[in-house]
Amino acid sequence: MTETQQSPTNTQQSPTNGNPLEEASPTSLEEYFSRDPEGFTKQDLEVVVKELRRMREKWKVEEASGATKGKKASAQKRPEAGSFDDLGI
Amino acid sequence: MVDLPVNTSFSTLTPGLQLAWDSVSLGALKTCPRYYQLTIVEGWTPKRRSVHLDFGIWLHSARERYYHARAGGESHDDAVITAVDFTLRATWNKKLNRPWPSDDSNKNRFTLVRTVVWYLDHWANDPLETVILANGRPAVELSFRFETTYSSREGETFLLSGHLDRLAKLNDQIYISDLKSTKHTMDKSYFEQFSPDNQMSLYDFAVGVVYALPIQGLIIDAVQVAVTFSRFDRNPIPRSEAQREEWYKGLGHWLRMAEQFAREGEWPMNDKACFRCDFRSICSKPPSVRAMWLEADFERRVWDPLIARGDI
Repeated sequence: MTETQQSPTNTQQSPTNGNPLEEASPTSLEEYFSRDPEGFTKQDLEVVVKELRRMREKWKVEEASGATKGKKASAQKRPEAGSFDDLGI
Repeated sequence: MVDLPVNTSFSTLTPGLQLAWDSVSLGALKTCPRYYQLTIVEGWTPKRRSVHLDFGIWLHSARERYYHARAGGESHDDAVITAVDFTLRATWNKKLNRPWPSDDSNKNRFTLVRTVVWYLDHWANDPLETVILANGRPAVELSFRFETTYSSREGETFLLSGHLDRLAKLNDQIYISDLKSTKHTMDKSYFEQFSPDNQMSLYDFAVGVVYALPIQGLIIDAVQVAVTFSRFDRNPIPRSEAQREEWYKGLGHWLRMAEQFAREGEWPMNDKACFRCDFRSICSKPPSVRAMWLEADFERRVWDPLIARGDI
């Protein structure tokens, strides 16, 4: 990981010219995943993390509204032998 | 044919007798002696590596990078960046200039990086506190090796070895925390599979011996990886002293059997364990042509518990 603002070799192809955090989008995420991460700057990685966090928030809202598929395990009964309830948490 | 390195976990006195055991090799023996012969004694493995194995190893490694970064003073956000940086690099093939080519819709490069970020954020304020060792390092990805009280007829001592994910404290009690990823729902039956379980029992037993810590048992740190989300849950897996003694006594019986098989040079097939076995295509053929099919569809590597990593 390079700590500089933008590595020279990355300037031409980076989707993050300008303020990278404002340009986060699924398109830029896809582009990041198709590139050699060798030249990624800290800002590039922050864009990736920010976009994945945005997806998580969106998913949490959908799950809370029951829009996602799959059963939520925490709502189900735990194994009788071994529960966090026994540990007081 | 490629020359393979010597497997240092095997006896030099009794061919085919493994002396240093980890949960992978012991689990293979317990599953089916023939499966054990093929995968551990002879070292056959499918030519195509399992995406589940790769995914699990990278997930463990990314989390390890995070814990070390946190122990080194990095903030949560910076440590997440460190873990993501590692994951992206680890899953990029520089020689071929392309990403890890998983064709699994649940477990691929994108869902791996997504899982790393979501997992670390989910447990950012983790009630499980990683144990800090006397050397100041976090107790994560710990390798262990110790002598058992069992020995072969030639007097060679059997050893147990392995790698622990993490030792963690909860309410001043110490647990082994083991990270597992699955594409299945983490319901009651998912967690029940770990009790009893060979790998978990070996880890639980080992910590009591190697670290002399009063372990309460294990906590399965489960990750459900789906196409569009990653979900997290945990469940404690208690072990009592009586259960530990029972497991260790059983180990002695299995080691005796392993020695018997090695001395006879024959590892019998357990034909009740063929469902979804990698070697079903081999064992279903006449014995006279199996070697030819093994050469065609599999490759050889050395599974040496004294150096290997991949028990996830």
